[in-house]
Amino acid sequence: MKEFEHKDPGIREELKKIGSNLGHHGSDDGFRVPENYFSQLPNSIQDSIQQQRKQQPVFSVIPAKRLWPVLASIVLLVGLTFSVFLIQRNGVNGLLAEEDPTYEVEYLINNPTFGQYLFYEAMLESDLTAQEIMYDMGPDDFDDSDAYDELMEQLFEKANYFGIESSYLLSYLD
Amino acid sequence: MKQFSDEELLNMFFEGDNPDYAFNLIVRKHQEAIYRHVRRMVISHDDANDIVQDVFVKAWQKLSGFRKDSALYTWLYRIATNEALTFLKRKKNRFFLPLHDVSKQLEESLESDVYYKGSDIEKKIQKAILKLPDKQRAVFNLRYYDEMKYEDMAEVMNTSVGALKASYHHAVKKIELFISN
Repeated sequence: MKEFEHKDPGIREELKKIGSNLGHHGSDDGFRVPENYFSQLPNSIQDSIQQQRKQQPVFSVIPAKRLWPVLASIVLLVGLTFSVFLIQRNGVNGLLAEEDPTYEVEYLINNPTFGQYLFYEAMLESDLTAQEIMYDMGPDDFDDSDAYDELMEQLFEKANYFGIESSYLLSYLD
Repeated sequence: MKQFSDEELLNMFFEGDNPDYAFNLIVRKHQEAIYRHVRRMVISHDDANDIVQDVFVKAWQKLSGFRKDSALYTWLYRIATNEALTFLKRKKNRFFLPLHDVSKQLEESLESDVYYKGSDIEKKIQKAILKLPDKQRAVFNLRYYDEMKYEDMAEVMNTSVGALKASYHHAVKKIELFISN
């Protein structure tokens, strides 16, 4: 057998059936590589892998293909949440209204929906039940004073997040 | 050095103490076939070298999720084929080139490549192969040069055996025509 003849006789047979003489030319493609290329290639692949390991992205848990849709969804969600917050705070027409700190506090105190929202948020982050929060607001109604403190802490945190001063919140609760 | 079977190498990778060593053995076993397949597709040694590195890095990243229902070597060939086809597609898109211009560019690479040492007839065959669409080129190369079975080619190209046989038949006819002209 010639050096570059096809090893599989099926290849030559098939070419004959097709009516081709290509089989006579053998299987050498003429491509060559630099000296010692294949003895060095595994090491350079190993180096590339080591580099990849060092550069593991933060979002490696998310497949790269899905990273952009995930990031876009996060941006959209944050945008929507912020819009809902602005609508709740200022009304639909107040989306572009200027910031008025007194308005925020008045809104918290006078708008029962927003008040409920604030307490609902606090409830989610504490172990208190909806009943405890919505109906039993005084410390005397709590069996556990730690639970009341926890609720207060959550409320102050939320109030701070919305830019409402603690003194206003306390006056509202009183 | 002992030549391990793919099954033994996979067992070493998944269950052994040193998966890096097992992967290195996988690279050593398959690098030449994968390189030659990629080189025939992209012609230039430098491009082939870059793509082969990417192929094995991808293989390393994805091997933990490798399902043993396909053979390791067809899986590697599939990654390599996809990488080479993507490279060629990018080349076309980057320069807005029609098919014949890409084929001309690849022909020029063949002429200027210091690592191409084909005889006149081998070069003529390569130039004829370059006239084929990329996927048909891959089909022809897998069958003619790599002597791959149609069943394995079907796994690599993700198509049916019948379609591959027809594609190979047409490719051979086109190459014959080009050579005889």
